[in-house]
Amino acid sequence: MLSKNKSEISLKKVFIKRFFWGALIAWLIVALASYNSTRHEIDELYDGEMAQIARVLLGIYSSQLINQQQGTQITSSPFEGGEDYEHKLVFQIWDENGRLLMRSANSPLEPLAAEVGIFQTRDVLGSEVRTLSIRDPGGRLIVHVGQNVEIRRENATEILESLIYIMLLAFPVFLWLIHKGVNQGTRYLNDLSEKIARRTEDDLSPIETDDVPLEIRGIVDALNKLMSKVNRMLGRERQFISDASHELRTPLAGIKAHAQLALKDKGHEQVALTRIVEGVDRTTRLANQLLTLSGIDAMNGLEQAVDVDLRQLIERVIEDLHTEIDQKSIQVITQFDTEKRLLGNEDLLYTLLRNLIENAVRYSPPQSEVKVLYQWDKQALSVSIIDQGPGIPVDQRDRVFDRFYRDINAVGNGSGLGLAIARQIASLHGAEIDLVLTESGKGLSVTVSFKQNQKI
Amino acid sequence: MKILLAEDDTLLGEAIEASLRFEGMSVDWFKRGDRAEDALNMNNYDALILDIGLPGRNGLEVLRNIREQANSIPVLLLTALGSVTDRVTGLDRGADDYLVKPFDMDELLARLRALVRRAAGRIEPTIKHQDITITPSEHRVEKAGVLVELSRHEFLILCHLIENRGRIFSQQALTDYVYPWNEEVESNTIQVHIHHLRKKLGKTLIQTRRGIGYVIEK
Repeated sequence: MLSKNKSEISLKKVFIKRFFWGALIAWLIVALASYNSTRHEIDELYDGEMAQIARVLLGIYSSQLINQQQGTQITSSPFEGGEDYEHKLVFQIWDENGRLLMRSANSPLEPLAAEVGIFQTRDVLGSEVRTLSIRDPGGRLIVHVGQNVEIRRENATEILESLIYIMLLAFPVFLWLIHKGVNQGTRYLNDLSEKIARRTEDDLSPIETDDVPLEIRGIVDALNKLMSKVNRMLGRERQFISDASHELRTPLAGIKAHAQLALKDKGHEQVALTRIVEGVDRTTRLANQLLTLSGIDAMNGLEQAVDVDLRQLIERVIEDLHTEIDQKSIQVITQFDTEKRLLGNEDLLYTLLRNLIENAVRYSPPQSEVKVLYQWDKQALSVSIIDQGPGIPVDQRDRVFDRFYRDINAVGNGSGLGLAIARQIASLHGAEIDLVLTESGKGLSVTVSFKQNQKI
Repeated sequence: MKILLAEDDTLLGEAIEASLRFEGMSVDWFKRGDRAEDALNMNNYDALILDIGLPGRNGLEVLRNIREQANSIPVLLLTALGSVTDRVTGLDRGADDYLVKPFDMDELLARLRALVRRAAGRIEPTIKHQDITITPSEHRVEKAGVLVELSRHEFLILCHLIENRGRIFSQQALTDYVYPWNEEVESNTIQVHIHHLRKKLGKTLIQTRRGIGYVIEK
């Protein structure tokens, strides 16, 4: 699961948090905007009402021509009492000479409005009042109407409150929906991780990308690529184990079979003992080679590289192989054109040279020549081993380096690891091994060139 | 019994060949898969001992080829890996039995005899004909309860004729059966063996079909 990651990053949390804040901010903006526009609408509505009332008052008063005393107030105003909204209404009727003809009970004695014909918001007796005054066409009467602004504010606030109530009710539902949606999204992730978790270690087939969301298809593709790489590596590993076990068990089977036959058939004793010794030698050599190979495989690079004199090493190898060389009366010719030394692992370089020179001797016909050249050429130190044997066909030149690869015409009882080991050692020293036919067309020339690693 | 052995390892191949010969069997040994398959198409063998890791042609490929050709020869597979998948692969490809290296030679011989017996449709480990009883595993022949000493080649010829009662075998066919493919044999060798067999087991057992060959009647 994602939340178990070290970093504790949860896509779900991120999604929900972002959604929550985003929704809240959006809602606040909407609420503010609707509050403002509501206030504006309410103003217009009330202003209209005030204007209408003023006109009605003017109409009634001028048509009845009620001539009343200045300062008279209507005690039974139709605007008094009753609804809350009406309560806040106040009016005055003045004549052209500035006499107050009539006023509502809550009206002050001073004119409500400062100017005639427009709406204004003024301070009247300590409270904010919206005022309007209109004049009759004859100009004899002026009607002032005022209304406490508070009533409008209250109205707008009520509407805002109801907006908040709705939001408070709707918000949990909204959050729940987000949660569900995000869950649905992360379910794909959970499904995928379950699918991967259910796999056994030997199932490295690619994950199907059909039901994988686009957003994580990249991860799945990368994972598939990695798995196919691991699969190939495991395949090589399995092949190696299969080959190694074949190579180890076969001589053991031979040793056992010879021994069992010798127990029954006295006539076979001598042959059996000889073969058993051969078999044990072979198995020992193979075990050593496998150990060498796994040792090289485990190396990350050359550790403890020292100054190596390859000429000395070549001479040592030839000395150590003298039995095989003498048996076939092979003439080994060495030619050292340089005294340059090399930085490397002496034991490994010995193994490299021995494997190559031993191969050359093994495949050489009796009484033939094997040449070993040590040269400095084109900025590379190189050792060439040239024999007069059958050579290696072009199509097999890459395969001979494969582990356990043995040519169908292979001579002797090699394990098929010699060249594989040689190549590993070479690459550890930054060197390459090239196989070419000799100039005469007969025999093989093996060249190890140390291109990157040289010491002068 | 004539056995075809396909094993590329000299050490092991030599030991198996010698052990089979010691048990009185005739052996043709090839180190390459393709050569073994060719030999199988040209000669009659009672069983094939097949190694998997063969040069020329992989053992499993050889096995598939011979089964595709509807050849039902008993095949004993030699494998280096004892894992279940490997064994199953071998058996699925048409092997009758398998042995994991290193194996016990006596077990190989016992399994080989069992395979040949089963292929011949016999259940008991002995072959009986009239008053003659042959126990191949012990290389033992009795006539009316009395032990009869037979040479290795005589034993091979007798077994082959009795196992295939009613079939006539030419001198050449018997030579091919008894001797390895690469062995030089004198022209009258089979005649000599038949002569000895008649002396030891009675004149009427093996009949001569003049100009054709020899037969043991049903």
